[in-house]
Amino acid sequence: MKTTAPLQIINLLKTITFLFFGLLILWGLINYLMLRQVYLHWLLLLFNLLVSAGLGWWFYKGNYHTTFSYDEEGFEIERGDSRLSARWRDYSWVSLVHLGLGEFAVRLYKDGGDFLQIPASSLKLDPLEFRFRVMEFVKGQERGPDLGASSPRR
Amino acid sequence: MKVREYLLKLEDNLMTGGGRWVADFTESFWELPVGDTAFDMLILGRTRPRGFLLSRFFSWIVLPNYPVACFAYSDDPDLKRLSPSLKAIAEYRAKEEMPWAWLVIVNEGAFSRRAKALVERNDTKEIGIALVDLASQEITASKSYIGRRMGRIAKRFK
Repeated sequence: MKTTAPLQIINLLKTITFLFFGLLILWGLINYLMLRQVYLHWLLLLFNLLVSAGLGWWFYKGNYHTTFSYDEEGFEIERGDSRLSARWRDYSWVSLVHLGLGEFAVRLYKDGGDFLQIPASSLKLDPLEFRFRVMEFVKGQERGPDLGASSPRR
Repeated sequence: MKVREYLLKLEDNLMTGGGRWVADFTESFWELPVGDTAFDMLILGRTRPRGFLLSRFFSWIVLPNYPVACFAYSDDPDLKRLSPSLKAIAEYRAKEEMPWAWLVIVNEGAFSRRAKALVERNDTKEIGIALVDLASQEITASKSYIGRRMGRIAKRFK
């Protein structure tokens, strides 16, 4: 099985930044309520940064970090604490979805219209190539009814 | 240029390039049967872009939000598959409540004179048709507004 689990640096930085400013505001509020003034020092900011980085990493690992493994038979996707494994033949249709800002995902549809999304760009996979590869995996299996009968829901 | 290469460029143009000025095309299917007809590519979108904060708010108050699509198939210089394709598109549009759609027919050689005349005469407002001859880089579009718009988009990367 091929496995990819790249560090999603944007999500990690967003989490750390959010926590850094959140903790700073919380510190300011507590100071003001207790002392009627806000105490700030560069050592305090450094400490806040370290705490934010630690908490941010923990939050990122639990919510954003994605590990994706696949071969010709099936795949396994793990995002944060949730994990899903499935076979390509469980799906009938494949699409490429533009999520905005140049980010793409590959969507796998079941006959009933339910779908699963693989965040190809976040996983540092070439979305176009990966889409065609997944199509071959799915096409190698039995096809479902055509779109006229059941179109994938958008 | 091969058909597949052209369709990849068309897909990229609609999803991330100039096509976004017409609609927010977000999802693309390849080798997809619709009714009794198989299309090489189908790209779905909506007329309201997603945007962020202010642009999202303005598009929400100003722009209508209905689904649109671009269908594409290839290797039909005499347009023998045009009629069943238009029927399949009409059924799909009715089912998805889609006001208009594009149909792009790509060929690695010239289209017959009759085929070009047929498309040029077509003034259906709901379906814009464009014939793309990859050998001569010639684009023939139907004369409706939607058709002329598709003709301009298809020309951008000939």
